[in-house]
Amino acid sequence: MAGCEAFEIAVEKRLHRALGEPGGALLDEHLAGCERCRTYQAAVRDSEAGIRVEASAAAADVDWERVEREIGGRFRAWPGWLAGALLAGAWMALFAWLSAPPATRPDRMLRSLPAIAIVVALVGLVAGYSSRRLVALVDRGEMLVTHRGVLAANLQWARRMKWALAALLAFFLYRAMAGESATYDPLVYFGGLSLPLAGLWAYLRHVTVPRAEREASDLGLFEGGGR
Amino acid sequence: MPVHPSTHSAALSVAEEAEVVARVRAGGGARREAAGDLFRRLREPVHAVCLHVTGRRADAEFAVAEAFRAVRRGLPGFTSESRLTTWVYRLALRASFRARARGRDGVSTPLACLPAGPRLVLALFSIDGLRSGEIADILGIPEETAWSRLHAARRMLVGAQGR
Repeated sequence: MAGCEAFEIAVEKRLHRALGEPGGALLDEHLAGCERCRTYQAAVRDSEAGIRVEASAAAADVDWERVEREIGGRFRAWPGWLAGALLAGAWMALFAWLSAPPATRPDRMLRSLPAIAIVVALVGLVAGYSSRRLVALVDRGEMLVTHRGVLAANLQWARRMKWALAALLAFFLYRAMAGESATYDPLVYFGGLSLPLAGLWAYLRHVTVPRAEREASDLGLFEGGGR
Repeated sequence: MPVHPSTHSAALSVAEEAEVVARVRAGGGARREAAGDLFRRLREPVHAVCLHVTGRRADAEFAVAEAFRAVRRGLPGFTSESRLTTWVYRLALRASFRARARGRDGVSTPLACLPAGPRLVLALFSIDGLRSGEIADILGIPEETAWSRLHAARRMLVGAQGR
């Protein structure tokens, strides 16, 4: 029947207790003479009941104390920027350690500490600023549109990072095989620096990027626009 | 007015939200307690939203934990641009999308086969006590648009269920 859409929306409003009295009377009058809307009303009630029953059953099975413990877990509660800054610092320390002959490594490490501290602070500041900006973005605009925008930017960053790491790894491996140095062993130096980068690359390649692509696909980010 | 952990309504009143924010700003133990109370108060409706958006029970639990972890980290910097409850649900939705992308196996819920937009709307409207105005705020759209999206989503779900 023409105009049924408005009544179907009214059916939804009544189910969610948002339909006033005049609208309710109009809906009842329409329902009395419209088989299609009566069928729709029954379907809405059934589907809503099914959704709510599923949620209640699932909530009853949750161990809430365990979930609360997970939320407050010491390491999982660490902000992402702190982990990133510490990883960058660890890589810098490895860089300093391997770039000196074995006898002078402790001294080299001590002299490198200010540089390592600066890198940790810089990475922490940039990552901290990004995460604060992201939390602020949660509040803005249409939820799905904002989330798609953030996801598209993250996906692009992860793909670029993956290729940049691959290029750096190739360079390090080349230098490990062909390089010469009077102060350090090129195989140990470049090989040692490559290992954490290879781990990061594998994580991006096999976890971060595929996961972001699945999320983007779920959110319809690829529809009509390609990658 | 303390937030009572035993009451499981879907949204906090303006006064209750102000009380949570004040306790968080007091810092220390009061902050941890406020975050804990907020979790106990909103965990069931947030879990229901996460369940329907992720489509799987295991992912829903993961998303709830991720969402409240983000709440705990973000609460001290919460600037009241929107309602606290709105912000919590938005964080939960983001966590749910990420959890779903983890692609684990498990029994799917009735909404699991729908696209993200309709899943989101149906999930929010299925929460008892969450009014259409609050749902519109969470989605960042006008209230009438929320109703028309709910209608379109319901048609899709009913169609998918073969009605």
